[in-house]
Amino acid sequence: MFNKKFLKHYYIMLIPAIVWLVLFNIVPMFGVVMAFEDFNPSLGMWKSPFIGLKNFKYMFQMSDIKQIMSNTIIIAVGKIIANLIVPLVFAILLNELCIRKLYRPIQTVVYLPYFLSWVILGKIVLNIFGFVGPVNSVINYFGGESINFFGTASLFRPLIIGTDIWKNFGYSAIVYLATMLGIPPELYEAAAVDGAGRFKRIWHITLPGIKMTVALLAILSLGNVLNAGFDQIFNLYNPLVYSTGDILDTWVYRVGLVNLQFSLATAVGLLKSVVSLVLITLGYWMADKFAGYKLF
Amino acid sequence: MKLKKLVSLMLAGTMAMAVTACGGDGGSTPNAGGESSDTPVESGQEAGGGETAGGETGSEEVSGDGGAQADAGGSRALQPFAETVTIRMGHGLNPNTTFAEGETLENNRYLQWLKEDLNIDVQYDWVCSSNDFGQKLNLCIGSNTLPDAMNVGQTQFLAMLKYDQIQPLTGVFEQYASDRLKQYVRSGGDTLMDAISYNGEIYAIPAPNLTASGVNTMWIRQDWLDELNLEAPKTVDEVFDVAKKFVEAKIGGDNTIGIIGPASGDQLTGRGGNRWGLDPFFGAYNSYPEYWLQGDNGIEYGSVQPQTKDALAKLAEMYAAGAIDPEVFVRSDALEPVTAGRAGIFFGPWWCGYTVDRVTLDGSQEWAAYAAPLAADGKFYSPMADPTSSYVCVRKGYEHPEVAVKIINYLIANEQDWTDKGMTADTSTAGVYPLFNVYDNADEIEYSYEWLKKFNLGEVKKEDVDVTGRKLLRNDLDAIEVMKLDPKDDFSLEYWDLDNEMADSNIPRLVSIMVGMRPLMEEGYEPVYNVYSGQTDTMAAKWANLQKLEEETFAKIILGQAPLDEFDNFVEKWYAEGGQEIIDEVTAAVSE
Repeated sequence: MFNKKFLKHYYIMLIPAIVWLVLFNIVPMFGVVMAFEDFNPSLGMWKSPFIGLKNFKYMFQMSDIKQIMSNTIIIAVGKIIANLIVPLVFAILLNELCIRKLYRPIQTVVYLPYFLSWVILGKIVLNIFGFVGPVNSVINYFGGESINFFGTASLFRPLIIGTDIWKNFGYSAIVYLATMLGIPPELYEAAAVDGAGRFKRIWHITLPGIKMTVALLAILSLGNVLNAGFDQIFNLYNPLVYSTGDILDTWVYRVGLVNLQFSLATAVGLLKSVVSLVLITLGYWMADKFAGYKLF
Repeated sequence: MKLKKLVSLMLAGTMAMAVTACGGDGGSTPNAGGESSDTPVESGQEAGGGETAGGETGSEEVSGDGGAQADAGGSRALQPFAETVTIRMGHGLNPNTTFAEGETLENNRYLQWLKEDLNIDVQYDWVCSSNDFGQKLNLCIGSNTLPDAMNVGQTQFLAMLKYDQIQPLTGVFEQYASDRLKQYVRSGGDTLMDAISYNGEIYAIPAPNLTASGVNTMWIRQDWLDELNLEAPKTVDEVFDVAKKFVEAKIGGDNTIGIIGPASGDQLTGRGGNRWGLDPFFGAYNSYPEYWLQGDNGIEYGSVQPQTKDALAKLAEMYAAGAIDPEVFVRSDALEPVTAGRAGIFFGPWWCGYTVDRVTLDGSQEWAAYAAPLAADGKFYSPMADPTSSYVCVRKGYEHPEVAVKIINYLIANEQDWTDKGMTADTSTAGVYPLFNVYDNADEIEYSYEWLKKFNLGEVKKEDVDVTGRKLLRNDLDAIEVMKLDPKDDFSLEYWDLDNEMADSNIPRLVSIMVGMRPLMEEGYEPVYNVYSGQTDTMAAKWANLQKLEEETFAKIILGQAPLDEFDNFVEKWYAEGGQEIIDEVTAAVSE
């Protein structure tokens, strides 16, 4: 009896969340029909002429869709991988830091760029890599020619991935550091007593201790495969690097929002969502299989 | 469970698009804010590419010209409604706008005056940052929830027209528009009427663009020219040569830039008034990228003409020789090296006197404008701007379209008076007044230049200058009288009274007119007009890609990252990927 009441109580608390979900997540789903219509707002969603898969066909017939898709995937996958490894290495190094006094300041400093928007960071990055910026000054000092970093297509992707890591790794590292704090210190003491050195301890205690978290983050980030980061690229790209830097989102921005192509923008959004859904489902299955993680 | 996931993923997708929208706008924000003094007017001008006459309301002490009386005659322009009429609108509010104590956007003196004098009750359904206004309105278009009246740009105007969301205003305009509003609209000529008309009816009340703002001239460091004993360059090769000499002499330091071109976010060529663009170079080769032209064999698109290749070849040569900013297209802000005194030449409209205002006022740099580079026949060809970029439209189904017209009439009739009496100082008209635009004559700058020049040289008396319907001319006359030192016909920096206490608010404008407008008036130019500014069906779908192709190809050719012959591939591709269809559609549309 008590149990039933207890449950009811919880369900009542859930109501606001469910209302929110229905209003903002389920109802707008009907808007997906726009992807299959030639949407005319004055006719509305239900009366606009239905054109089937024309928007999708158009999208895939476009001559540079391959380029845009591969840019998106390469940049996004690069970011996913780098954003797993760099914070991990950083977190381990920080965890092993001997001078504990520096622990907090370092963490705070690397955490800082996370809070700035790309509008500002974009300008900073462009200036750092500009002709009179510090990077080229160093190159000139050693007798090299100035490099037009953001005007060279082949350098654009590494720069995008690199600056993205710079912005985010401090934040991601916190998750790892938190997990490391959860590893019982007795394990380290016992290992030390048994004669394990620093590297042995990392290898046999720290890494296994955070294995689950790493796997989980890796798997969940799969859903971002088509999100290469609009804000960042929009603030850094230019016509010279379209060939390696133009991604789905920037393309949708130019086609959809500047020219008010609602249907096409919806179609692309839908495509992105479907791909993400498949990958997340796959990731969830993998999380269960390899890490034993189950949400439901 | 599956459903929930599906849903949240879809939402994630939608949100990504929303973020797209916001990020897009954010991108342009720092440019607008970072440039100049805090007068909303000027930052508006800089940010908006200067297509409107933003500078017009800039100075604070402006004398009246009896405009209020001009409209007071028995017409219906300012007749109050018998019963209160409500109009529901949205507003894009500049976050820096300040209000007088106790006033808000929903409750301020302008709205009270409109209520008292015209019996119009203005209600705001939503308010957003002025930077987000376009996006918010796009959303309203998409969801068919337009405000009763709105102030929009061309893209939105055409979209609303296409979706049949706005009502014709011909009758209302005829009946209710004040004489001055009609005069302003007439000053834009037939091209302006065409821009706002559809099927013989007008669908918007436009704020005409200043004709002069469409012309990019060459702004050059006169003090550098003098220091190196150089003549002002005229032809393409002379400009090239001077730019090279600036760089070689390291006159602005180790990183001297000869010609500063478009930064990231600026445009290489644009439809008029394209500060930092290199349009005059293309003009010198009779090439007009992005313009629809009436050629001998029908409608042509400027970017794919063979002359464009010649212009690109020259620009590539100049870039390779170091005459053009090595960081062109990539640089985050073109103004920065100019202010820092590292740049020798840039291209922009007459109002670039405002662009260099700080360095002018502190006397550190002297800029002069010339109509250059000239084409082979010695003429200066300039692509012209669209006749307007501000359209006031009324939603279909709103019963009182005349309300919008009256709100504009009221602004035009009283704006001057308010400024004179200091009634706008603490709550700016430009930021707060509903449907605000700078309504002015398209020939304002030409007219001002002509009379200021005559007055300055003592050829006419101040009283003899007809300032009727001219908002700032009286003030300009007063200002030039005290701030222009002898000799009156030499506009070098040393002959301006930069120490005058009113210099800050007047010199940038006077320099803009007397120096920036000079080449257009004295050296003359050949205007080239765009014949089509709408959007055809194929354009809607394919234009973004063609434009990407164009931007990428041109930028790469100039920087030497692609061979010149890449241009031929571009042309071929352009026709194949929708260009030909679009030309056919535009031809059909123009011949209608």
